[in-house]
Amino acid sequence: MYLLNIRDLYKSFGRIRALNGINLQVGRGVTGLIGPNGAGKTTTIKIALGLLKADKGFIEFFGLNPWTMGHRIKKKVGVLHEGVPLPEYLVVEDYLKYVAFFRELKEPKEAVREVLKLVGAERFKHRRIGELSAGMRQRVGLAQALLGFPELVILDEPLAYLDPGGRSELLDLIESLHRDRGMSFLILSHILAELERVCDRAAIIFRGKVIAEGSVRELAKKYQVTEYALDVFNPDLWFKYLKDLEVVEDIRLDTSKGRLYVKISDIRAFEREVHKIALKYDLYLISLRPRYGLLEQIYRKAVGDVSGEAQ
Amino acid sequence: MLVGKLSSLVRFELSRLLRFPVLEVIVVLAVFNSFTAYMSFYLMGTYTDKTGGSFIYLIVLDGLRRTFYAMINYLFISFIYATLTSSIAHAISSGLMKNLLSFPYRRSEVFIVESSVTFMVPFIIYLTAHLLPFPFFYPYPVQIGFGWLKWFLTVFLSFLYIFSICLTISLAFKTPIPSFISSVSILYAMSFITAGLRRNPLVNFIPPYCFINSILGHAHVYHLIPSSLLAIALIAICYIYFTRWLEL
Repeated sequence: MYLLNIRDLYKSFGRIRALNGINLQVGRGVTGLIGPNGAGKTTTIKIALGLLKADKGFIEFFGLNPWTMGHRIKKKVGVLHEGVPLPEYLVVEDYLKYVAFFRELKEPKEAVREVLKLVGAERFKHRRIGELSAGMRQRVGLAQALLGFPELVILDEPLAYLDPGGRSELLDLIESLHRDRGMSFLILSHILAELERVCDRAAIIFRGKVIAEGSVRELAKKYQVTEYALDVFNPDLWFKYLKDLEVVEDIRLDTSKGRLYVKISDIRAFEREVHKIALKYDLYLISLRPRYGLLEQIYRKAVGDVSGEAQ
Repeated sequence: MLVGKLSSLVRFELSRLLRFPVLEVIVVLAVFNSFTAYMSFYLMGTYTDKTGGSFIYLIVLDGLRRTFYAMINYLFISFIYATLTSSIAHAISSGLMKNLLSFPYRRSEVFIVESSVTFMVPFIIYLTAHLLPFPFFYPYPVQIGFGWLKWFLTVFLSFLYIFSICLTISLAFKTPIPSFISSVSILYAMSFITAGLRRNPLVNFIPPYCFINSILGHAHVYHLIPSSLLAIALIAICYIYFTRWLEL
């Protein structure tokens, strides 16, 4: 059974069509919802939470209609909204206690203490939310979403405002909560390189439609990685020998980094050719790797296919 | 369970509203009301004894009591309601309402709690500020009777009217500053318009004249029927809008 099931959903704001017949199924696990700004990610989630009303289409969240039964759905869902709207006049701990009461948790104080520790917000729990830095607020927002360990946690841009250490901690936390408590996550983010660490499924939204959806493995297979970066010594010589290969569709030399960017049709054939060249001309290859992260590559290919532009 | 959940929402809303300097407002209003009560009961008596009560009482004291006391109270209450309801508009524009509605509450529960708390806080403040100085300046034993009940009801209905206008405007604008400016402008403008109509016998039925009269204890409850019906209609519209149409 899907947690979130959307079919042919439409939503417009005046003349702007935000959702254009979106189809999306979210099951248990960690799902990434990715897409450019204005693609319709947040609109989809707002409709799922009963904050917006769809113009037409079918939507079920935990088997219920969000617009009419939203209060029952939200018992099972924790949310971190983009921009982290929190009451600035409240002290962190007091606010989270209110949230614990809203969620009707049996031991609110204990739940707050536990979640503050989990997100690393203990040291500023006595400060007013209005006094916190953006990164600290983000942690409070996360604490709010995780409080009571709901079945599904929706995180809208959770990595925004966090420093690299904070991002890594959050991703570790998502992994451990999914593994140990069986919690599911729906993560909306632009930071694809880090998102791919935790996501086992992804859906790509573009211009109000889901253009690709499935497990990351399936998507990687479907949208084959074709752009690679080669770090080499003697990049000019490598460029000279690689450019005429049949398997190479495009090649570009970045002399400042000593790096070659190649677009290829077949990775195995290309690897064989590179190996031959290295042996034949006694050239040294430092690394051969996909130019972009896996999710980013999938995203670029999927969006490129739809928009007809090379991304 | 539901009561516990709603009571935590009430406390949460109170924490939002009580950021405003409530104690200071009570003190200022109480001092002001004490001053006017002192004018009414002591100075009025003194002048009445010495002069036969006529000229100074009519022109200065009664004038002061009417315009200064009732108008200032009206403007003050309008200002407070405009401020508090614009904080609802602020909650909508800043995303706080979106966040609140992401918790397991029905929209109707949120609306009822938000509007009741926003309405009741100034009303209780006013009652406190108004009644607190009474025992100090009123020279006779206070009888709790029908007169007080009538005064209470008329003040309640008058407050409901002001609140309904401010609430409607705040939900219409959904942003705090335009909401505040519009509420204050409309309520203040209405007070000036009705001041110009004061010789018309129907003026008693027109807010805010009936409001001012109700504070002075001159209004009959039936004077407040049109404005109360309007208030109930506006609140009902706000309820339907909030629960069925408001998109965040």
